Amino acid sequence: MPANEAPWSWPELAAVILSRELADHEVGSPGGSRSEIPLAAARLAQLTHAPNLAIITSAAGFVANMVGKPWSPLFHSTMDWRNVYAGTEAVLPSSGVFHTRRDWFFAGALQVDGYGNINLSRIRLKDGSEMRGPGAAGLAYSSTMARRFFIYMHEHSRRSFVETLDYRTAIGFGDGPGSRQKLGLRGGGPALVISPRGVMDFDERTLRLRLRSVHQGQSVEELVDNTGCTLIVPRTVPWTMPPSDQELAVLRRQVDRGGVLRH
Amino acid sequence: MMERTSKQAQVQDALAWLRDGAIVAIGGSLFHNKPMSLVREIARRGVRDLVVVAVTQASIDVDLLVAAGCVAEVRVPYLGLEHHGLALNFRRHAATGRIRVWDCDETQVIAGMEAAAKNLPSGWTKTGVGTDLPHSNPDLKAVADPFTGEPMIAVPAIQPDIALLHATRGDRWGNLAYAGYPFSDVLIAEATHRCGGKVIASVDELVPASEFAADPFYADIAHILVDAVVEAPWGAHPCSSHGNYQYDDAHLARYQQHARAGEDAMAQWLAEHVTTSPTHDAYLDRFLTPTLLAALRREIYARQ
Repeated sequence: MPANEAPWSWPELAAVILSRELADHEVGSPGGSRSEIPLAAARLAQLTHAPNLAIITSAAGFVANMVGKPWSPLFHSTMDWRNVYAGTEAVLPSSGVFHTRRDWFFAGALQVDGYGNINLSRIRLKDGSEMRGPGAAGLAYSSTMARRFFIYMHEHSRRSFVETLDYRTAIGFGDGPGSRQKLGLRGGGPALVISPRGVMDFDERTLRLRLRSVHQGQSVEELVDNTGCTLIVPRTVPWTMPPSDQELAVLRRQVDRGGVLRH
Repeated sequence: MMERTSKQAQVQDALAWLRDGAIVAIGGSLFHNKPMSLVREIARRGVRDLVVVAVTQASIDVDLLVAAGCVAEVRVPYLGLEHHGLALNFRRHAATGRIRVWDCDETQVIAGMEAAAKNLPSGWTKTGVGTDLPHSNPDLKAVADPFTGEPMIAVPAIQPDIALLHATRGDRWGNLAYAGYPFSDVLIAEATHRCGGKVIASVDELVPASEFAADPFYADIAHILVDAVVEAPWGAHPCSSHGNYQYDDAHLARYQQHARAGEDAMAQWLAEHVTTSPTHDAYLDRFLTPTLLAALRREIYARQ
């Protein structure tokens, strides 16, 4: 993992960057392998630029909005009972969780490839054995149906950014342009990949992973060296826009007073 | 006049229906509403070759059954211990070929359960189109929509022989009420009952039937779907009974330490928590102190 000398932690930076991607009036679900990061991103968006954004707790249907409400701590377990009182105004029945539109959702992954397809199922180890991941959860569904999705990777290495997945659990842009249309998939596919090294999006024409910015303290060369899949690198790559004073103040005073994202 | 039949049961009698090789559906989700006293009793009885279905997410419930050697096949969309990490017993048993894994997404398990609940042969989803799921799981069939021709995935009806649920309260007729979220327990009860399986619920509290009759909107699951109600105070421990008490995070962390240390440590954990605590009452007396119980309740009432 690259060293981090910035005055904010990697989860804090991830929450701030992801919050900027969420627009007012959207409906989405935070999920993935450290769901407090996307949950913080969504609450931060509500409290800065998207006051009408609705958060649906992934697979439990708590519909929440933090605007004008007392702060509430972030919890590791997404369905923690205390989340029912964290800005929740209504609870969907379990079937309603899958009948409600999603403008976005978040995915973690064991592996991601250059078209944003992801693996959460199994990794082939060097000795030929297989390591099981947690499984698809609902990501095969939401990658098919949600308008867009964001992938956050806690590790940026040649083991996690790969040319060929060991298993395709959820579909991004499939085999490239035309794949999603041919299969009749509803949503638009992956919009963004964020890692501790940088931010990536997808080229509009080729749908290939493209470097958008590198975080301060990281370098383009190191990032590319640690990427095992095809990556479009523009001639100039800007720094990731750091958290503003206002974003950091709202994040630390209203969203994450307990500092869950700093530990 | 004939007497109505009570469904209140002792755990041994309720689980007498459970045979080796049965398809078992487990309710709740992640660390919530898991019928852990029933799970421990199954491990204690040494039942073998179960096909375990979680609707939709599982944690220590399925990992413990795998560690105890009760499981032949896992049908679970997400199996992990959330912030404590991956399900390590599951991982070990899968790596060494001791269990089969039926790869699936939440919506595929739901489609299979909905099909069973409606007495249909299969349910259809869009989920899984363009992924490896239908390649590694032969039960997920690529099909074409007869109207548009577009690619879909068909899932066969999942017909549990037995369903294990945990509710906050129940009465002797089998009505069940949840203080918090019932997750997908209603669907599990519908599917299992419709295909002739048995629905067994543990409840924190067995209350007088008049509590349910006084308010028909109180019950989340109607008695006609339930075959046995087992009184098990704190019966979800170390998981939460959603809205009634919290999950015991320190206990879950200790479980994971043993799982991480390997099979011998895990066997020792099972001996301590399952084998040598022969009943749920013995388990309660040994592992749940009044101080701990107060703490698990306190977090339910803590609000900003």
